Amino acid sequence: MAANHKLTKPILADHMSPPPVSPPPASAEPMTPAVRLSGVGKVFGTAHAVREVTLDIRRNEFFSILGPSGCGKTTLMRMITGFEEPTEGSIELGGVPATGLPAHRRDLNMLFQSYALFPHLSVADNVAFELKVRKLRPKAEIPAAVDEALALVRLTGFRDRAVAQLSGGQRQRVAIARALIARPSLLLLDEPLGALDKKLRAEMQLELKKIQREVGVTFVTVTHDQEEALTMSDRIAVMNGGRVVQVDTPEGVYERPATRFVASFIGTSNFLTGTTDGTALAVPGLGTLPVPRTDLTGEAHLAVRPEHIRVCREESAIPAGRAALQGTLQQSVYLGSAVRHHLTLDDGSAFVAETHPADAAGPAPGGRAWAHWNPDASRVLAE
Amino acid sequence: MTVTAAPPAPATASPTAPASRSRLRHHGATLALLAPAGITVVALVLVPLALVVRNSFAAPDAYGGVQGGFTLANYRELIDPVYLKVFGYSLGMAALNTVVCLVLGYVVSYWLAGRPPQRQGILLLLIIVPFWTDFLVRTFAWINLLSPGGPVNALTDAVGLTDGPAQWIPSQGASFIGLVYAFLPTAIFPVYATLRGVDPSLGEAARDLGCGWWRVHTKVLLPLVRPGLLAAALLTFIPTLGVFVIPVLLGGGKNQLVGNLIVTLYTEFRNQPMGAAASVVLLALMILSVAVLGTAARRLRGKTS
Repeated sequence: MAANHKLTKPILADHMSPPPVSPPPASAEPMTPAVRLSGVGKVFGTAHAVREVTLDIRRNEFFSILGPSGCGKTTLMRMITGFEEPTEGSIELGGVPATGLPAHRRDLNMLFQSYALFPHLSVADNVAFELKVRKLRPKAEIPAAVDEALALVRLTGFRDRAVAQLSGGQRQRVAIARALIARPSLLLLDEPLGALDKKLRAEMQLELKKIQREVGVTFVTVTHDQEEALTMSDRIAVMNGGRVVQVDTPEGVYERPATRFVASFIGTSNFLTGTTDGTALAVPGLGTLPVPRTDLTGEAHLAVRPEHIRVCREESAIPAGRAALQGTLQQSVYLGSAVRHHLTLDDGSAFVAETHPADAAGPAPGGRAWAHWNPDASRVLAE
Repeated sequence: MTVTAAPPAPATASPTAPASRSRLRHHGATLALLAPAGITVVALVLVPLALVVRNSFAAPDAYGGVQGGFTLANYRELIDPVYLKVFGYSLGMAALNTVVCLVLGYVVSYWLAGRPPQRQGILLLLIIVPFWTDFLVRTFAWINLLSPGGPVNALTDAVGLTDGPAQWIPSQGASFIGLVYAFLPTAIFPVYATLRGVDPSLGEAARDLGCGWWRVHTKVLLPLVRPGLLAAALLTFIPTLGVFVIPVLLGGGKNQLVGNLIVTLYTEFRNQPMGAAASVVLLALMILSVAVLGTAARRLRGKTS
């Protein structure tokens, strides 16, 4: 098995590599990021909510901050909006230091999770709120601007409604129109789809993306929903325990996770722990597996996505160059678009494979089986 | 009528007869249960009220009693500038007290609503406990606090605002402090209750959309707590009109409120019909202010919902 290496181009440390898909910066100053966080941290009493966050959010990109609840993503967003001041590090907005700048002086808007529409104002007055407060337009131009903003979110004709008369989805659209009417350079979205039902969520995912392209505003969403982040974002920052663990494209965080946390939080992964010499991983009790070439030596973890794994009964059926492990097939579950196989490896650990239903029938449940995959589809991780 | 049709007839008739009987019994029980409260209201509210109204149209006799008959003389006499001044002063004091209580009540409520939830309960208790304490006791407490050489005097001495014992009681200012102190909790409760129901992200949204500190309040929070402010205004303005203990104890009885006037007319002047007339006018003023504030509240509710 160990001899079956197929070496391809080495995979770099991904958060350092340029993303393969990214929109061209449309701004006149392509070098100034929309948001620059340098060593940003926040301590509440004795709790360290955010630690050493350093990252740039580019102009006009759809950026997501993704992480489980309590990972510090909301605190990070509130520091960008100015509702909280960082206790460490600094924040620049469009190249200008934002330290000490109150929320109402920042050229950004926020889409609140509860939408935070003013219940004492009509739809039109909610949408026009910022134009009136900041006196950005002559009074006579405001109705036209409101109509335009409502048209953007497809709510033409709703201007005289009361907020209480709107459905959840409509409220969110009004909140988007209100947040975008003054064309901020940055829109922060707090769990934008969290309160919507499943069907509406899928619709709004596409719509938010479309609106973002139309208005050319940098969008930063904060979410715990990996699917939401993957479908909408140009780039994703994955947070855990107050730190940003990886910043990459959706494809990058999925295919090339930087840590075991990322590999398990985004999609599902199988993990094997052993020692590596840079070309193979020796897993105690299971044998030695070929891995993509790595600079790591010593203890390391191998992450393999279930969909990259094939299952067969005979060792002779494994194509050359594949990493393979033997175990017992516990159960095969038909999911419609895939078949999920639950295996128990010889060291007792669980292993999951997903194959296409049209693939040749695998081994029978209860029998011995081989799980094999292309080594290049696996990832060697230090932590 | 056929034989087969006969049996269902009593079956349908029998439930209705007991039903009407049980409804009667039900009515009887309702009346019996309402009786204690009803008798209390009639005996202690409606009868005295009717007596007061009746007496306000009667003529006084020379010994502090009531002579009967019907006259408008008592009301005509109330138009005298001496009495009108008392009514005007009362309305002004009540209005001023209401405004001060509303401003302080809003500030305190806003501060309270921003505290951590566990602490809000304790802080609220600190407001409620004095509120439950007897009105008279609280007013006497202020006599001690404001007396020459009392704690407030000691403080102003220490800061250098005064030099030696200061005579603050009786004065109009002390009387006003007493009024504000007495009615501040009643102003805080409704405002705080309304403010706590306001989504905190609305204030943040206002800041996010360009409102500085002042406009967060004027454009968003104050309009949203307006129902609470109206309730607070009602609960402060109307009772202030009837207050009589505070001006006596802290104001020295020099600047009288309607409440003091009524007491004086009944006890010192021994003119029951005049006192009754003043009471009826006060009652009318109160009902009028309830109507005005109530209409404002209703119009507001119609606009927001």
